Amino acid sequence: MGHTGRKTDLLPGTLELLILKTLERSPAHGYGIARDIEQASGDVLRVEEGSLYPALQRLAVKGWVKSRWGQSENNRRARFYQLTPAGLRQLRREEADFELMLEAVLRVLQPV
Amino acid sequence: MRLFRRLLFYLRRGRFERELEEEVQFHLEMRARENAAAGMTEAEALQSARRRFGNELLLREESREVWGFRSLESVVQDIRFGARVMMKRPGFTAVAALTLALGIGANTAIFSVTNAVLLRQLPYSEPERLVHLVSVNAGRGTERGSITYADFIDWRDQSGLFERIVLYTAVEPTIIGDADPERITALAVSEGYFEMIGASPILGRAFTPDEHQPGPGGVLVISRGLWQRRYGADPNIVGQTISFGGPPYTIIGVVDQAAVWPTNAQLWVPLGFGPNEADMRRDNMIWQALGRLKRDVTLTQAKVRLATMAERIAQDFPESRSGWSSDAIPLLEYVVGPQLDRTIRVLLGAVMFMLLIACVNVANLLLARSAAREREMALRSALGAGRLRLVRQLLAESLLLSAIGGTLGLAVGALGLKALVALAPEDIPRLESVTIDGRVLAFTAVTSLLTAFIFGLMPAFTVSRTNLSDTLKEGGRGSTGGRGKQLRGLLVITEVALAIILLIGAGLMGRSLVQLQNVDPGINEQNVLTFSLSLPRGRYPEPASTIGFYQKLEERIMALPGVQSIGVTSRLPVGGPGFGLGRVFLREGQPEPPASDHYPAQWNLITPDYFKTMSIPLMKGRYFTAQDNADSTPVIIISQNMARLMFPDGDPLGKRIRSWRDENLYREIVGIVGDVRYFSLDDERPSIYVPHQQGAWRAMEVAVRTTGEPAALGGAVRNEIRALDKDLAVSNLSTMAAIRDESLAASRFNALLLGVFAAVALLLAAVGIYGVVAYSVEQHTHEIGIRIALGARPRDVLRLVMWHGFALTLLGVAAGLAAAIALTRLMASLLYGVSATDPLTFALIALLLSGVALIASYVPARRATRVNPLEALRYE
Repeated sequence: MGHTGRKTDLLPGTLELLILKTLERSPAHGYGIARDIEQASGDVLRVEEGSLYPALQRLAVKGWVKSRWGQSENNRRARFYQLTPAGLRQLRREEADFELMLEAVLRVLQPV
Repeated sequence: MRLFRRLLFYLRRGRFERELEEEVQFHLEMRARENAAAGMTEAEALQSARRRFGNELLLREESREVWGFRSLESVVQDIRFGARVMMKRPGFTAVAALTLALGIGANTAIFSVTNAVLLRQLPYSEPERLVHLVSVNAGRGTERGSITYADFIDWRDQSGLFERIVLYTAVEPTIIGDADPERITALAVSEGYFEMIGASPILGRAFTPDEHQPGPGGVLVISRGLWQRRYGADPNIVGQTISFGGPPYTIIGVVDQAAVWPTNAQLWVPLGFGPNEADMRRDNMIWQALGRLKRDVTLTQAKVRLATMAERIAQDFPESRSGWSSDAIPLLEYVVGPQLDRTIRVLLGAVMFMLLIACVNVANLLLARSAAREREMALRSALGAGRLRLVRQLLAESLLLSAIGGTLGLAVGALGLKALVALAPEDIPRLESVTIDGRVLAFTAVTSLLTAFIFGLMPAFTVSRTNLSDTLKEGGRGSTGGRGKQLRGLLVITEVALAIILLIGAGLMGRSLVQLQNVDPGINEQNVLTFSLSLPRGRYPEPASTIGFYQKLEERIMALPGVQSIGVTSRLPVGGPGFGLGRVFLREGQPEPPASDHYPAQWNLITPDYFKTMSIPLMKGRYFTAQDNADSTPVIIISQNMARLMFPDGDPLGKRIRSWRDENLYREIVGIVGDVRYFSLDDERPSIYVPHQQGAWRAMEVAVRTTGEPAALGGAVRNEIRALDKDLAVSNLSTMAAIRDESLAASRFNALLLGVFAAVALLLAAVGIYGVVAYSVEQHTHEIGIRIALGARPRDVLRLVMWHGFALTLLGVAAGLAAAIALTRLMASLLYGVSATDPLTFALIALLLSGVALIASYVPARRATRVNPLEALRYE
């Protein structure tokens, strides 16, 4: 009973990684990022969409993304996020880490 | 860098909120549009978008929290919420805070006094090694008697106990010359006095060993007080002289009187002893001695050694020392005295009870509120608050309440302390330097806060155990209904019992005071002016000049208008100034002890009209006359109780008695007068009177009976005395009525203090009972509504509701009475004329509390009778 935590199927931290990756290609607003993640992962990674926003704020506080208000596709005001140089470096670092981890897991799963 | 960004966030918080909201709205709209494009209706589209988004509020809060200093923010939030909650129930908050404040404040004030007077160590160097030497005689009830010079020599040279030991005695010389004659208290001290205590002169020096010579003139040291008051803090005071009428004394130093003990001396002269037989007598107990124990000597060792030495002396000198022993009392203990010690401990007990009552009351209040807030807790839990969050919220509220109560308590404590010091009787030592003690404040604050915390947190803990849906249902009462009710009932019983104990204590003290006030002191104290005179030996060397002076004084003052009579005495009654002298008497023909017993009595030297001035009645025989002088038969007048003691079956008149250890002169009993209380209002010891012409002391007390207001004659009296001797100081100018009043000061103070505590306790208990009944009414509104709807009369409803409160009261009263019977014996020594288990007091208090409880339950109960059944039965 009561609040038991967020309902998310993602490993913690992965969401931020995905956001960074999405923003690598081009700046986007929150909804756009959500849609990109949805398309790119083929709906396999199901995200409680709203959890995007705290994640974005976490990235902003760490200085890896920055935001500004602009016009969306349909001329609505929306906040756009983009990677900072520090964010880009972080992305590379995390990608490298992730690959290492993946390798390790694969080695365990495929005995020699 | 991160910190900087976060700080910036605070400046733009409003904007952040708005932007975040706009952003989220945008997101939801986009999603809804997509859903609509996929075929949903507008309503469905938005709903689906919302569902997919998640808990908007929570997510926005999370976003916000990323930036803020989370823990600090929520604490502030909790406190603000707590403040709002408390504002909504101002009555509750006020009562709880006040109760805490009273408990903390009263405790602080009394503890501080206790610390300053009883516990705090003396300000001298290594004070724990300082002891006061005394003579003890269990048979005569003497516990702190003076000692002899011979004892002092023994202890100094043979005991091996003391690093140093000094002798001192008080004298009251009159300073004359440069200003008005002033009679001051001085100490004659033996070698090493200042060094032993560790007091350094602030100007000049102390005495050298060879300055301790017998004989007049020489050197002296004055106190800082005297130096400032009479000599204007003259920096060149060292080297100037002071005159008391004889050869001048040179001032060699100034010492702060607070740095030595006793603290009431204004100057010190060196004591010197020649080879004088009288000085070496074993029964001349007229000295005081102070010693510093050697480092390796414990108090017990000292006491044993002193007692052993005294025993041997008693064997060697049985006539003068049989029955006498010696003791060493630690100086702190000596300064405080047993009476004060007992008094303060009783007060301490009382105040602890009050603190207990205050805590119980606060606990009760919080418990009542906890039950009321169960619904709120359950609701918040359902909405997503974690248990920790709820606890933290309640903690913040308790903290707030405690902070308010604590601050108020500090104020109450400070004010209370000021009041205590102002109202306290004058003879309580060390009270002037009392301050709020930090440790005490901390202790009481912690106790009260603990109570507030524990009981304030109850709702959070109980909420986890209740069935949430039950609590949230309409009319749900929650689980503290049953268990909480019992606990609250127990608390009320405790409160009432404690209040009874305090009330009985106060009641007994009050009756004691009344009894004391009604004591007949044996005199008529109205319209009697009193003052003290001390003739210096230098100007009045033989008895004739002393007697002549007082005779002339009486003549001149009698000639003043408004004077009815005048008498001179060595000591004024009811604790007034003068020299209290106790001697023992034997009848003519009665063998000396140890063969027989002797009769102790208070010795008073008087002029013939003393009895008339004081309105002391003559029972038999006659008063003294002017013919009873140095050349006629030695005569004596005894008090009635003395007559009964010494002559149980015979007429004392004409018989002869002697004070066999001192004068050893047979005196003929010429009169029997009424008993008078000399030392205090409860002093019933016998007295005897000897004509001044046959004793001729120089320091006497004068009493003048006036027709009108005695104080009006003060100026005229001073003039007459100045005319007789311009260098004579009039001191202790007062009235007999004021002296009697002052003798009641201690009892009055105790009764007042206990009375205040008891009144507060009564109030708190009443509040507690009121709370219980009011709560009961609230809980049972539903049931009451039904009963009224079914035809119950107001009287029945009243009975139903009040019964609970009243039953608790009765149990509390019974418990309190039982406890009081056991406890009041601890204060028996402070009572006068009333026993510690006085049934009248007990009964009256029990009735009083029951009556108050009845009223306290009636008020909320009446509200129950006015319950509108329709409303009560509806959804509450």
